[in-house]
Amino acid sequence: MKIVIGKDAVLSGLQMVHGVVNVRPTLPVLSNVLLQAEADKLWMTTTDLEVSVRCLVDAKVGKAGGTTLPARRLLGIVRELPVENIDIDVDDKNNAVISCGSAYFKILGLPQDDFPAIAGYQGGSTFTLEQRVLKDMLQKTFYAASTDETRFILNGTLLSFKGNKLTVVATDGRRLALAEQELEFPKESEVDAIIPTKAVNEILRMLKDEGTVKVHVTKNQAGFEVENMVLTTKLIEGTYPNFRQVIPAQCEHRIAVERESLLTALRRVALLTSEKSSSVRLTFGKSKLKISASSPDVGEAHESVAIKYNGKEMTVAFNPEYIMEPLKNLANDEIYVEMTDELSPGVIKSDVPFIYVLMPMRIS
Amino acid sequence: MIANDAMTVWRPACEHLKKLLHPDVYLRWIEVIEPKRLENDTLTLAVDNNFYQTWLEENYLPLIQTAVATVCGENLKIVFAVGRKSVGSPVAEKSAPAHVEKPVKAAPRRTPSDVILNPKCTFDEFIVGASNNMAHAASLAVAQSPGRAYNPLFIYGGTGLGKTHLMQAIGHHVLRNSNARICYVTSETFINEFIESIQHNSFVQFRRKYRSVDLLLIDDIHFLTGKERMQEEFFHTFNALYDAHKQIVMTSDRPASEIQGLEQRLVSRFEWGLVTELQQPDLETRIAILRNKQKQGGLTLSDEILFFLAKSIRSNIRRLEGALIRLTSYTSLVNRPVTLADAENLLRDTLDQEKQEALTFEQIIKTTADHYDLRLVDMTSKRRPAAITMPRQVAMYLCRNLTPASLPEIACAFGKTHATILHACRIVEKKMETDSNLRQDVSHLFKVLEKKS
Repeated sequence: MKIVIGKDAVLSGLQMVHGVVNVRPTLPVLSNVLLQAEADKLWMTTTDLEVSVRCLVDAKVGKAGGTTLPARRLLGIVRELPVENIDIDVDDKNNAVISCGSAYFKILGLPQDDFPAIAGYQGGSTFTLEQRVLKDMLQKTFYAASTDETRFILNGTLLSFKGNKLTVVATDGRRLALAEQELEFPKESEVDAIIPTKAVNEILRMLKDEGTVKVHVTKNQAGFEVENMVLTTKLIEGTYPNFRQVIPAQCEHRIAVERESLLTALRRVALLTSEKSSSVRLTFGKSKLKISASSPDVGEAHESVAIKYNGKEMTVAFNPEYIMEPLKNLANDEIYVEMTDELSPGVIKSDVPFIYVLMPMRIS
Repeated sequence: MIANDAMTVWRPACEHLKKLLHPDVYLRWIEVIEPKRLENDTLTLAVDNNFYQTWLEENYLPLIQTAVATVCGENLKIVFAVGRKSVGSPVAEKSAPAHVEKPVKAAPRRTPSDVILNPKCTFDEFIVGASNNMAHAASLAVAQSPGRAYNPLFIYGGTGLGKTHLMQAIGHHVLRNSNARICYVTSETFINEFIESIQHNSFVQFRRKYRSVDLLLIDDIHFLTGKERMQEEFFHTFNALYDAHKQIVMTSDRPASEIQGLEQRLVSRFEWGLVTELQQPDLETRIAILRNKQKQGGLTLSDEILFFLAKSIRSNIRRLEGALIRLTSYTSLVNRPVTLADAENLLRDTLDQEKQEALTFEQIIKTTADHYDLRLVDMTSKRRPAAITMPRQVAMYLCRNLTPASLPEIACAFGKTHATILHACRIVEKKMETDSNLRQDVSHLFKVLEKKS
């Protein structure tokens, strides 16, 4: 294999695919990136056997062929090279010579046959939607997924294509984030897919603001295709719980809050929470929301934010991280907080169909 | 009957929660719960699916606990189970409210029938070899005639050698063949329950629970060290059971006399019945264990690989199984049989650890020298007064038995010839048959060194 490739092309490609590579993979070849050169194109592929990413970049191909090279090392080298064309020349023994100007590197690769085959998809359903939309929906929800491995079914984000709607949901048992979007597709392609969190992170990296993404869902895997990239992931097997039961029917008070000022106030007050008392109290009073935190061995803090509220005073305690996360990931200026009483779940909503249910902590 | 008791607690608790929670929340999360049974201070509540369980445990457990405690006046443990309508006929449940007047306290405290035993830990699954046949035979005898064969039975041995397996096997055997009441607890659970009983002033229940069993299995008894009240309580429990000819089985990671901070009267009681040791399995046993595991899992690895595993992982059966699992998962991932090179590569961290744990000659020589109060140089010197010769020979004997090294290798460490080492081993072996002091010394050194490894 012999190619000449621009630094920017190879760098952007590697940056797209290297996230999948585990630091300590089970097989040595999994720390490598598969390079396949053919007719002015270079395919770069990485996998951890669960998630695989393929990226296509332009290259001048002198001699077609393929090899695998250590992904992180290659990325490190390319990143430091001057902005020029890079020559990559690989011999039969998978020794790659990378030269650029007067810089010369020789790195040892592994044969491409050792690289696990990436399964294609058969059957299943296909959906096409705007990259921007999917990115936005995932961004607003994925952080709520559980990291508790005993609840493996919650260790991912649900994409539910049902009733001409795409619903994206993640929950960890204390909070739940949900985003919805109208989407046209035939009734028979209705399907649920639970995407592991690692794959979601990679998808977010891959999606841009322009163009469309094709989503294929089969029984046990899903594929996401954009212009020059394909991501394939195994699905988390099982039935996602009935998340609708978590969403309260209606709340007594709906309070409009400025997102940015609530977030910054929370950030400041949360500085005075400690491991022992990791909660902030939100006291809703007349036209004023008071945020306070105190821990016996640290001190206390409080700050007020102006709100439109006229009901009875109530105090609810939340985990500050859990309430800040949706605020960070939303873009609207104004959001709505819906409350009922101190033991009922709180709900955060925005103009677009987005719901975040958060269980209060008990005030002792 | 059992469901009734649960109902009598749950109904009023529900009323309590209803007042506390918003109707929407109540309908959504509390109303759907079905009380299942009340046993041993544990209230089991049934819900439809995992997610209910997750959400309730995360968010409403403290509330429910408080509500239940308020209505019945004692702290019950709340456990959620998935799947409803599996226990008790619906008719019995419906008629439950009629019995509300029955006090909760009177609920029949049944023996721990829900003994949590690992179904895999049976005698059939236990591979017997030279290192453990004594312990196995003793356990089997106890299982066949609990309370009469050896009482108490005290099993000790290093980690991952099968103590818990043997103990649970006794439990399984007895459970299958009689309707004896069995209680299997780790000493940690025992301690926790004891503390709880102090908190809630429910000593009587605690005592009744443990003193009414026919077979008491206590795992990891060495955790009792330093807990004086606990030891006293256990002492009385022990006596009560022993006097009633009930079987007691205990496991520990070291012999009773070496458990520090254990009262003398307990030590003597532990040594009363049969004390049996589990030793590290020999190569043949390890291979047999691997073969058995492989058969169970429907796996196939070549004999060469199994031999390699058994040869290189010697200290611990758990680690052996872990290595086997790693290799088989690799096979299923890459869809081709594992080669020896693959195996070495996959298991390199385990193997490194094994190697590190292996004893060095220096350790053995130093420990022996310390034991006999000799200088280190004496151990390798050419001088031959009896006071030095004997310990030196013991050290050689230990090196021969505790390391896989060859005679010439050992000889090199002592600056002698291999014939000297061989001679030393024979002498020590022979003398041990007659000299009880030497026997004690050697077995003590064995123990000390095994702990180091």
